[in-house]
Amino acid sequence: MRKLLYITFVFYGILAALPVSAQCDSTSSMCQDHLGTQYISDGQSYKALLIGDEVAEFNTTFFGGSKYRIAGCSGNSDGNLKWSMYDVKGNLLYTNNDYRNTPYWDFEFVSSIDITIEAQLSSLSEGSGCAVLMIGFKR
Amino acid sequence: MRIRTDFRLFSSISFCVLATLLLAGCGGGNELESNVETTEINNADPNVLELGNTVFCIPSPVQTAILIKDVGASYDKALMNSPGNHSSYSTDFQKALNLGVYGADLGYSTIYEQPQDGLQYLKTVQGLADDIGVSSAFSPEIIKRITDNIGDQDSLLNMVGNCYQALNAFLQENDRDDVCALVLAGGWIESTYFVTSISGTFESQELINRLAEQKTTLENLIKIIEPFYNDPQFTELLDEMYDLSDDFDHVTIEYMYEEPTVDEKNKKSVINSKSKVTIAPELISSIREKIAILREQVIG
Repeated sequence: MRKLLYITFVFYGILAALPVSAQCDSTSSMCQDHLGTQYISDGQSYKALLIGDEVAEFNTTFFGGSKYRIAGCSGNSDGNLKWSMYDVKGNLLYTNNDYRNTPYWDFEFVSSIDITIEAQLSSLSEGSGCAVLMIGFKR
Repeated sequence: MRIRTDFRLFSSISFCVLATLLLAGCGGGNELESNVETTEINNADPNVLELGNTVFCIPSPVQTAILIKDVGASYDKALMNSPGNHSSYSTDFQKALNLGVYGADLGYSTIYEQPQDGLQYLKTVQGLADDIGVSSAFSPEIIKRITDNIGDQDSLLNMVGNCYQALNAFLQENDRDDVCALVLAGGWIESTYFVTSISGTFESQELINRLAEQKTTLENLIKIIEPFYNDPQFTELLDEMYDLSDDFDHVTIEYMYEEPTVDEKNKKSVINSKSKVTIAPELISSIREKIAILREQVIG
């Protein structure tokens, strides 16, 4: 009986993981399109499997005088990922939730500042999914 | 309940599940049971979670190259690592670090519109990527596309950025976060070396500020590399970075929040908050010296 439970666990685990892995590729491609060609990729790739209300967080520095585009995607359509940007004091600087979870937004930084971005699945998305975040910059 | 997760956690979980599948397919009933238990232990391993409750992002070295050109500094070929050194890197550790170094050199020569140098660095990067088994990011087709666009700086920077993105994605998906961390470290060391070297002879407050602003980036870089500290090669590199970080601890950054300005129609926000960095001249000299020594150890 114990063995049967393990087999069931593994089987459903694989069923859950494989489509998400494939989904990550298509989500990345969609996100890349939102980044467009005007913005140069920072050369890094940020992906996460999010379940329920889990939050993924990343920290970075944005340089003053630079323009950035941040694209955040999940699943195969827009609006599945909500993400918010905070400064070092926890002030909310931007949330795409105010703009129908728009998949991308452009930023101009007057000064170089350290930022935290938090991303989570929106209520529109299914219970779990691959979240992809991309950052591009231009002069 | 609100749970923080790591972007890279996904690959770890997928790897565990897939590894379980493969092992289960090869073994008998008792082995399957054993393997599943191993998976459970791995998932509970604090090291997997410690890999990052957060992700630390290192700004592209190309951004620093853009600033160097914008402040009016001249192109200096001697600042870059000679492509000829490529053949002397024998370990994956050296190759990964210098893949980052040469990537920064590629960005620098491209920003200064030096196509011949750029091509040379592109070939060097391709060679190192081949050596460490990530040739797919710099396939002959991609190299040809880049070469065909050599006169179009923005396209070129875009394609190179995408190549490094593919490279990092490949490394993360193949559980090679150590190599990924080294590529980032190499790029950071080289671009910071550009700033410290140029600021020694070329007066620019913007360059000094950019150097001081590396305080947080270095802290983030250390957090990315720290999980590999027990590897002797990483130990040496990290000890040098800790020493450098001690210097950066004396940099002060004053932050002042201001309300952002939003242009909803154009999907754009201006982040008006300001920061002011302060760095003493003797500190700049010390950082300059330490970066030069560290870079020399990396490029050999």
